[in-house]
Amino acid sequence: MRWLAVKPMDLLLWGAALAGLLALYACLWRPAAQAATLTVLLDNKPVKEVGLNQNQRFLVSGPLGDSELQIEGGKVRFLHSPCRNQVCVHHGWASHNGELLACLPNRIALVLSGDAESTHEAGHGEIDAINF
Amino acid sequence: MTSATLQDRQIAGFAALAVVIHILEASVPSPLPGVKPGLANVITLIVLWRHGWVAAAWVAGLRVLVGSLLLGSFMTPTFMLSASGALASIVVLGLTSWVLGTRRPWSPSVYGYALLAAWAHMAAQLWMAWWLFIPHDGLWRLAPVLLMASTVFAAVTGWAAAKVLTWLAQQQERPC
Repeated sequence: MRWLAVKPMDLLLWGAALAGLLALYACLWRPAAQAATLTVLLDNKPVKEVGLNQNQRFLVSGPLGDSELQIEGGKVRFLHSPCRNQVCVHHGWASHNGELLACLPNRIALVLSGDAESTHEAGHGEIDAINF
Repeated sequence: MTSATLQDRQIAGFAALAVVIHILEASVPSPLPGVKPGLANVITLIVLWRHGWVAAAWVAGLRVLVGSLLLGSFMTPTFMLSASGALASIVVLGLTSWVLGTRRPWSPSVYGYALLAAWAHMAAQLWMAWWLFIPHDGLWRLAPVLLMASTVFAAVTGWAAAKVLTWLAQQQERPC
């Protein structure tokens, strides 16, 4: 059964592959971090930037009227909205880095960015995947 | 017109086998796009071992072309991915067998070659998918999962190729 013999180079290659897999998982599958800042976009243009550490409620006026946003305990949500379907309100809270809330009828989008735990990390605040 | 040589016939035979495996495999549902066992690569490995790299490249190329024509996926995204994967794996197999050989003390066995082929196949597919179809960096998050599947299936194809090669060697040693 000389064909079935595993050679030193095989062990080397398989070892490298397994190490590579672990490294890939470690690099790409980090859990989502708590976001630090909220950027409010109106018609795709940033109009307001607030830290998620201050609990507050505020209004953002879009084409349909005023949407009320609530920030509490590092999370943000649409509290009231003048839109018809209330999708934004029913979406509920968002708190993780890279998450996005939007009210399309009122042209408002909320983008969460930054890492509340480590703000020096490379590429912080970048969105790497959005999923609904 | 020159007539087909023995090697031509062998390549055609192996390619036919690979095409059959390719098509059977295409009918098996897959949990994730891009994940499939790649058992047709067993044939590529066997040909690489017994008939050299040129024959293996022919078999892999014919398999992808004929397989896509029979499945009706020629020039579709599926074909692009499959062709880029096959091309990358045959290039990697060629470079490795050229540098390290197949039967020297420091050359990998079929297990090593199966792994190299599977990873090259998956990496090329993923890059192609990113370059042509989904140019979003979020796609790279699939890399660990897809490469893990490749690794598992590489063990399966390596084992199958080793089994067949052993059997073929035994058949040859036995006087008819």
